[in-house]
Amino acid sequence: MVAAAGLSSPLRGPVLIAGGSCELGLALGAAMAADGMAVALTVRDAAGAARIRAALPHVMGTPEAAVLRLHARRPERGTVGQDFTTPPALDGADAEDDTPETLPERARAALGEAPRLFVDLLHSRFECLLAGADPADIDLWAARDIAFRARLLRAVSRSMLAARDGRCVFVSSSAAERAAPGQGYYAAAKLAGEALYRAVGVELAPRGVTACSLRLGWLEAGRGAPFLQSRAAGAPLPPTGRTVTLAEAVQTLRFLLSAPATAINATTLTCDGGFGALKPAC
Amino acid sequence: MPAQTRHEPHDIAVAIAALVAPIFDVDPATLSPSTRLMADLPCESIDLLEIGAGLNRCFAIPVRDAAAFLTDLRIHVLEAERTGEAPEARLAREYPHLSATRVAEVLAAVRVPGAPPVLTIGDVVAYVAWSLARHAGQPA
Repeated sequence: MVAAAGLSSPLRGPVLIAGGSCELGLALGAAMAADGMAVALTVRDAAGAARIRAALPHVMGTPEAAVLRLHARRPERGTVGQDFTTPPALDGADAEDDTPETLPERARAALGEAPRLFVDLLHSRFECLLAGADPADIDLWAARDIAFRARLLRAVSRSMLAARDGRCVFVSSSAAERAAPGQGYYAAAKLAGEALYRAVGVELAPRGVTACSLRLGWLEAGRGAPFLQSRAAGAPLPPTGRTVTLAEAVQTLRFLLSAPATAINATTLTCDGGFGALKPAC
Repeated sequence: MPAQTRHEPHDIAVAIAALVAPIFDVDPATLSPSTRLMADLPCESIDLLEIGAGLNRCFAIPVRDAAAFLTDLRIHVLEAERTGEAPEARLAREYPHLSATRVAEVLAAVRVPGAPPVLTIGDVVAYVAWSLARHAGQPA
């Protein structure tokens, strides 16, 4: 006789969604709020905050939801022997300390409890042929798309470590494995992200913090939607005969955040309908 | 624990003992500022990371693990010797939370071949006290 697994609630704790104003972030935030979870979504600017409030009016009107700013400013280190410090806040009446280092505490202050679940949906936007990139843009790409993510994951995982409980999920891309021309930097950033999340899963799982990455294939949402609509009729599709839907992506992430998925740790899964397994068309 | 209101070294030491004890499943009363984390306790790198995260949370301060836990101590000494700098001056600069007396003790200990890491709870207490004074009012 097989004993029933003694799992209580499949989801636990507040969820923090970085890059929460994208279409996937909005849908995931709505789904998690519908599960009864406290939700915090990060944005880069006021336009992102407005998108969230417009898309999730019923969620954002409750104490269990918050919009937090997250900005890619560099930490400062004055002299040898001194700590890293938080740069000054942006100017303006509504300025706040919007760095990754303060994000867990800001989420705790907003939701009443530090996040136990974290989803990284931050975009990488730098796409060009590798040899065509401007050197200064390469430095900026490394700072924004790799170092910033590392700082964010460091801050969140430290907060979770202090509570000995946490789950981090990074949304990568099928381009990490098979990048098209012009996607070299994008793919490299995604691969770097996967490596960072794998490291958290390896290093912190003994203390209750696990992590994994999800490579999403073509998704009919966000920046992928206009690309898919512009493709020629008859262009190859995954074996499923269609692209990944927004609902499928949300439910996959929701499962990966759940307690039964904890053993999916320090690894990368692919959700692309099997497209990556196809032999390229002649 | 609202540790921001407890800035006296004794209170910091008590709070750190309360933070450290459950990690190693020991009685906080058995810990003191002279307890050597890496020699008297089975402390590994992930334990230091957890202690650092706990310091963040308990004291609402930013924590630079390399300074708080003297992790690059031998590198700094070697680098000072390579460049001709006085090791005492180098360590005083890298670890401004340590007193001159403690810097001398640390330097003497690190020069003993095969000696265990010198980090004590008292060193961590000194770091927290220094950081609280330096970062008063700043977010962690």
